[in-house]
Amino acid sequence: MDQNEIKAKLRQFICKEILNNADYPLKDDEALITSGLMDSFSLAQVGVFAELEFNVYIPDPELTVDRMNTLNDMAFRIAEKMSA
Amino acid sequence: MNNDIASLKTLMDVARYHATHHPDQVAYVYLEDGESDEHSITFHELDRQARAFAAHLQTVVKAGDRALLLYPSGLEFIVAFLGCLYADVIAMPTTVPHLKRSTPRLLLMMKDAEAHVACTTQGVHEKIKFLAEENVEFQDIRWVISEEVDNDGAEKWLQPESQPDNIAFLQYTSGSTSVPKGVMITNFNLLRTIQDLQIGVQFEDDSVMVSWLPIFHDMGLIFGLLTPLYAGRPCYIMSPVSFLERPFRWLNAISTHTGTHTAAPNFAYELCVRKITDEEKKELDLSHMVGAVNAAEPVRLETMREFTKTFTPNGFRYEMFMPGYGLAEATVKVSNKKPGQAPAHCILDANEIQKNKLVFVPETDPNAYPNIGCGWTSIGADIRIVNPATNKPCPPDEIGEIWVQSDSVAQGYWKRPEVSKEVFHAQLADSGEGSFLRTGDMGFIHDGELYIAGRIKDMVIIQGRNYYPQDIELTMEKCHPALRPSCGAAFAIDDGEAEHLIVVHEVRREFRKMDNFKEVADAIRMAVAKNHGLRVHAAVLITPSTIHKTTSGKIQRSAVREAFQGNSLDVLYEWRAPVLPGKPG
Repeated sequence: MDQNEIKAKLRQFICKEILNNADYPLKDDEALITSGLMDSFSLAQVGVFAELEFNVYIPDPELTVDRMNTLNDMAFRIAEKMSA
Repeated sequence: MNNDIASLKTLMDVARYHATHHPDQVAYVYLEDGESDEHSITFHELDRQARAFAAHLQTVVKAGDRALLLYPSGLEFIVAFLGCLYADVIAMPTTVPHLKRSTPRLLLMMKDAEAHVACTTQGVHEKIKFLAEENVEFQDIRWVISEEVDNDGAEKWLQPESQPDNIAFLQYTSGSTSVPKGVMITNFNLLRTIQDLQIGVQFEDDSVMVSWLPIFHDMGLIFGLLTPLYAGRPCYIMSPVSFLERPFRWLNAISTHTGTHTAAPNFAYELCVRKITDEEKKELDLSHMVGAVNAAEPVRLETMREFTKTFTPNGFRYEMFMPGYGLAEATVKVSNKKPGQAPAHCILDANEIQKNKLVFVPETDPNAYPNIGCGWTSIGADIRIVNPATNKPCPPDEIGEIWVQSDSVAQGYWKRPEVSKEVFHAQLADSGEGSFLRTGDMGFIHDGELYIAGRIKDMVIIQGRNYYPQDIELTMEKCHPALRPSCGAAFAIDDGEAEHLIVVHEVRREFRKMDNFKEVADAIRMAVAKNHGLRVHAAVLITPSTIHKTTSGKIQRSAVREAFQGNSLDVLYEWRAPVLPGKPG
């Protein structure tokens, strides 16, 4: 699975489940948390989604605002774990 | 309140007063099968049998000795309990051990209190003979069997002096894994609490109690049985099993006997909504009710709304609900809903609660967390909110430990001066005021009412934020139909570096052979993340009816934690976070 596929799945999950707006045009480099679009509280959900969907575990110290603020960040981190 | 009664010093005096003033009125009715099989006793007969029981006790033990009461629900228990009061013998009501699992607690209690005598019924005695044979603790115990007490012996009773400061009974705490502690409740504590309850719930000259609560549990004993005795009003009782088998019986007894008051933990109201059929509902009239006390476990807004919606056609109204708060250490009651109004609630920001801050938000807010007001005291208890780390009073917008100073606060734990001093005689660090009872519960005061957040010792603290396990447990049970309601536990374990959240949940009997437990565990993990911003470190599904509970049916989180750590849970499926490099497993 390449990063674009990961991003597509993440985008769908985040827009539908976290932003409660499946049609939101979320951009790859759009700040999610620092912009206030999403609460840092919701990172736990992204973490569980990564576990269930991509079978990777992102440890707590990496599941933080500075490392997971955009779709690009998240997809990069997940891809990195998948290839590890 | 009747002024004659208010001037009496002990519950014995009150029972004797009623026996003299309205001897032929019915005091208790026991509904043997939960429905029509009725056994009743008048105030005169109750007094006569209590005197006979006391006279018998006086031949076996002396005043101040301890008597274990091992009774099922029924009139025999009430006679025995009063008999102890009439003999100035300290009663220790407890659950009948029907399983070997519940025996260790009983043995610890007996040893702790140095019980001299065990009172029970013939039937129970037959069943628990194994105790006497297997345990040295029972070697020197004298047995008093209710059926063998000669009721004509009432005349031989030697009435003790009425001593308000004498201990009336020991209420043993649940004691999850530790040794149970006996709360010393005096005659004065008992009367003041009953007065507090009577005023608080408006139990008056036309009131009728209906109760299925366990008789050895403080709410079942003091509210369910003794409050109507104090008021000289009838009380209809059935066993918890009768209720659990068919919840309809409870509301039907209220309907049939024009019950005005009852009490139960939140789950019971939920059970009624789920289990009472439309056909059964047609028979119910609840319009004469005054108070449905909801206490002893967290009170849920949703449950009360659902119950009201379900039973509005039967005359039930939301304002009949009476949420309350209390604990054994305060002789069951600290506060309950103020008379004449609907239960109050407020909506808090769940994120801020984790930082002990009160921030009110609209009900539609994504972080909205409803909390039910538990009213206030009716006997002028001094209730404070205190920072449990500094022992200084909290500012009004902060959540802290609930401290109480009142006539109903017990004298301490039996033979535990050290821990009693700590728990029952706390002082405020700034003013030196006290002694206060430290309840161990977190809460706040809003608009003149006490609100409860949760137990300190159960609180899960992860990365500096507080989580109350019952909130996480509620999230779990709602997230998948295979999960058995009220049978989950959330707790933290410390791996030496950080605290991690562990969740354990029973599945329902009809799902125990399902082939997709992973789906259930996944649902839990996602729901907890979504609602609490937390990832669980382990999600464990276990066999029905195997989670650890107290004798009153509350989840024993510390016992579940121990079983999790000792790998002794009855596991059907388990998911654990991967062990990361460099971390201990």
